[in-house]
Amino acid sequence: MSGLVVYALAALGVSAGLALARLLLGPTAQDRVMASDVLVTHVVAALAMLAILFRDAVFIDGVLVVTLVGFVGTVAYAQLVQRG
Amino acid sequence: MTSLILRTVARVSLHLTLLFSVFLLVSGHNAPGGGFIAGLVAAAALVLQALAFGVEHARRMVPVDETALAALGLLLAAGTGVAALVLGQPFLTSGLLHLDLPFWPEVKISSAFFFDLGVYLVVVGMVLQVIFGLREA
Repeated sequence: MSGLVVYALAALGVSAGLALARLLLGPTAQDRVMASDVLVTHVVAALAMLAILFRDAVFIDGVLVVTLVGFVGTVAYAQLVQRG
Repeated sequence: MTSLILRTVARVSLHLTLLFSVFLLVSGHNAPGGGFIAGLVAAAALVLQALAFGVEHARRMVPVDETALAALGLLLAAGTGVAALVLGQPFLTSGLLHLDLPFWPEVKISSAFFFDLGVYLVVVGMVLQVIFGLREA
């Protein structure tokens, strides 16, 4: 069970690395905004995995905080890009 | 200017986010959380309203001026420390009050909670002031 979670975390790490590459390389601002949103989603998924791994519900609080605050950040970026 | 989807989500998420910030404030005594994080979450809820409906609408949601909010919080946090001085204890000594209410479980109120509440108000006031100011600039 916990082995599966470790594999999932490793896959998330690889995926987050790819998203980070897009954030650094991304030719347009839209690419970078999307990449940062994807990275926030990765943090949420990783926190959920850690909650399972350590059997600790405290991580779920972190999931809620990152979800709510990351959403606001993405909206702000999107409006910034829209204005040009 | 803003999309219907954003306005609908902002309307739904406001109360959930504010409720969660109160949960973080209260649970911060024994678990991760506390006044600072709770204040940031509450401010994020109001910033989302400002993004979706404009700064003027968000300002009307907070009936108090943001600077006054931050000042009130600082007064509350400092007052918790001074109250210990008045009682002849070192600055910021925390006290615990046990309340035995009828038909209710035992209630414990610590003075650290009021300090946290002050921090919460300072953070909300400061973040709103900064973000609203940036939006209007």
